[in-house]
Amino acid sequence: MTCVEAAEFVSALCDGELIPPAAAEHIGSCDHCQARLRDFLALGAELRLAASLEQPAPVTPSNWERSRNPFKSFLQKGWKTMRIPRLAFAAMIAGIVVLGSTLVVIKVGAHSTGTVVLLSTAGPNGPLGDCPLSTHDTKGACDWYGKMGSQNLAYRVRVISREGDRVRLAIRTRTYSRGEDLSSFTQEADPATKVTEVWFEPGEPLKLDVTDVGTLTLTGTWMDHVPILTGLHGQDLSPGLGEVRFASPLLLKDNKLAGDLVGSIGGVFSWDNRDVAGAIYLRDQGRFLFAQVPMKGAVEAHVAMSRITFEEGGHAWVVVNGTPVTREGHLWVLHEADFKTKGQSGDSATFGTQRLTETATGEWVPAEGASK
Amino acid sequence: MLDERELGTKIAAGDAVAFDAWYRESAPRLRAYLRHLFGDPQVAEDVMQDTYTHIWRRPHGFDPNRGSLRSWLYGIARRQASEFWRRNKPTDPVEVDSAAPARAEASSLMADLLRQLPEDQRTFLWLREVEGQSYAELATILDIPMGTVRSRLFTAREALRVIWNSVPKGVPHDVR
Repeated sequence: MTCVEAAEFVSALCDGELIPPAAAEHIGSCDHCQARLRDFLALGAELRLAASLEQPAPVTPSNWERSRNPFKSFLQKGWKTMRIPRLAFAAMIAGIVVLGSTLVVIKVGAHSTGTVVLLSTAGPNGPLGDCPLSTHDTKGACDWYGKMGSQNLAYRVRVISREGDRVRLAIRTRTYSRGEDLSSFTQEADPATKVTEVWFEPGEPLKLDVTDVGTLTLTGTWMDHVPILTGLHGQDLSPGLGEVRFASPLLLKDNKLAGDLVGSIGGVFSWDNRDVAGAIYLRDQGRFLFAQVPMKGAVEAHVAMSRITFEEGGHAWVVVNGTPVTREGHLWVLHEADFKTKGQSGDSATFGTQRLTETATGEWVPAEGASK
Repeated sequence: MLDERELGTKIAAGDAVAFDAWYRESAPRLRAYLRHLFGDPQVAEDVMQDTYTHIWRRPHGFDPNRGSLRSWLYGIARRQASEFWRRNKPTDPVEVDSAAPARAEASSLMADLLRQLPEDQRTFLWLREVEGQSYAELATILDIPMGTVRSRLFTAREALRVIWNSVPKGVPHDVR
């Protein structure tokens, strides 16, 4: 192990973490790494010293009850110090309460720690569909084209900005005739397109009237990720964070079927351990390990929805899976062409798991005798 | 003394007394963190108030199964900080004026050095070294996979070490 490879483990030591034996052995005998360890520990102490030197002044008291009920004190004060006729004051309060109630309702629906708005739109004929809009990447847009009432409607929504729990939406709508060129619809200056900007708070429906079409109703919920599959009206089929799923996969080699694992998995097989790889074994192709960590000799595979694509051994491989695979956009694939199963030669295609172990150099390899 | 789950339940229910007690106990440390993040005590105070006001108005977001009350608080504070930067300094959130003298609250060399780091590295170091947040809490606060916490912490430590070691000899707080 080199100092560069051990450096991250030096930092981990400062956090009270256990590190691989090889890293510990290197750090224990390396003056350079020990100097780094001393520096890291000293810097931590300096940071705490600096923090301790700052006297924690008491915080400014806040009246949380009052800030939650702003109308209460206003009402009380109003009655006591009234300089306008009480009937007029009462009428004014009635108006304010109506407005205030609306505001309160809007706030109640807001509860966001997410960065993605799953937007659902319904028209007079029913749902148009669901669409995720990220508040981080505001270039994305939801588009819909189709028959709406007696008209054809082109509809596009995108997020312009975010302020707290609400987002500013730019909504473009345009009716069109069959066969009409719509290439100008998504361009900024399109005289036939109506552009509306509105504040939208997920949890609160938003009504949008479109001339000659009717009312569109937008609803939304906050999510902490972009759903892998949408269009299911609220159902999210995304794997969990760090989860990998396989169901009835097919393996294509250079666009030809190399293996069909139908029936090899009962339903959906999933795992979220980093030290576990999914293993597809095909008698003619050997074994393929799919893991979230870089295995020694593995190639990186691109994952999109239910497909895993990678190139290995001069061939283009595609796994067509029966379920979204992972939230991550990649996996690591290790192809062991010469791998043979022990005592299961009758199975031409099997799916299982393989336990992985991390080497001293930070690479992952199959643990001996740990496949199943 | 309420345990964290009970306290979180009371806060979620809008209990002003419980919220106020939690605010008084947790706010000074949060303010210290924000001061080092912004380098401006007034901005830190404003963002801290925005953070607690946000939670007070929307207290239902705390889920004890997803992390501690403390990591939830710091996660929201960090988002409020990001929002502040987005509104006020969209292009350069970590503007460092190396020629300017240390500001009033920056009483130590370390505070000055810390401000030379990017915001995320300052956050990592402060939350880990001063606040003692665990890897899991850091992952929650920073909204990153737990597997990357170790490497990000190392990167932050190494960056601070480089700056620390570049301070000319003879400065009173030089490497001892």
